[in-house]
Amino acid sequence: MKPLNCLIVDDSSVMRRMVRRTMELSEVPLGQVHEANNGREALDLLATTSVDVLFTDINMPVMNGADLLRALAKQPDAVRARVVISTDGSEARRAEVVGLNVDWYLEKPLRPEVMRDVLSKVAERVHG
Amino acid sequence: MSCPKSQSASMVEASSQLDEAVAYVAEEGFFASVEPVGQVEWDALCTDHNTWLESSVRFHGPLGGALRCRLPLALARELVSAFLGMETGELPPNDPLVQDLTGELANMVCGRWLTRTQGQVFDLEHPVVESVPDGHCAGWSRYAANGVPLAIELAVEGR
Repeated sequence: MKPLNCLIVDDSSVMRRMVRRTMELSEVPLGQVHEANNGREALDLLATTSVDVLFTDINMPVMNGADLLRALAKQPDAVRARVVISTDGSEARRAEVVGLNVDWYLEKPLRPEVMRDVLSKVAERVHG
Repeated sequence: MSCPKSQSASMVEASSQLDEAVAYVAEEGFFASVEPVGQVEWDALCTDHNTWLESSVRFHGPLGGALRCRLPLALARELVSAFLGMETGELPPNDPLVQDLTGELANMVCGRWLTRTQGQVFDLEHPVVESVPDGHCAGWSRYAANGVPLAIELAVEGR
């Protein structure tokens, strides 16, 4: 099975570490795991790097997650799966990203078993 | 929040919702057990701690305000370890992850509380973390987190 290349976008270093750890605990084969501090850094990285799954926070400085997803919505082939991980779990916020090709919307704090389920489904889709 | 309740009933409800948010984040994020404590127990819990951190996060939306967390450095280090699956001893004394985690704690509790009580879109500012001299925090909600003191203050503007 081809390992998944991933991108974690969050302005908190401890949150990026936590997401990375839950990914490693999932036992889904991982390739390169990239990190970005905000949406702008993520777009710069995606211009030169192939990524299977994107995990992004919403509230970030410079470029927030909604603007990142909006930019990526114009590039449907840029990333195979797009996942929001946010402290804001409101239906209103979820509605904001409808239509932006978001596959999963997860709330912080994130349970490892939730990450395992998401990565397993991404792997099925990529290797489908 | 728009129901015609007495002020005391609203305060009890807000306190209960905050307790739920703190317990949820502590258990789900850090595998920590959290219980509200009274003044006497709080004072006893604080005696062993000389170094404290405080994180604050401002929120905007249909409601505006700020949430502050105050906790001993020892608890912040313990929470980082639980969050990242590390031994506490693996963390260098001044690891920036400790400050970062203290900010994220305020962020997650605030986000949980706003999501459950408001259900509308809100914006959280980047958390601010600083060292504070002690655990003195009259009027805050006080808890024992794995037997270590943790205080939270929720200030909503215009209430």
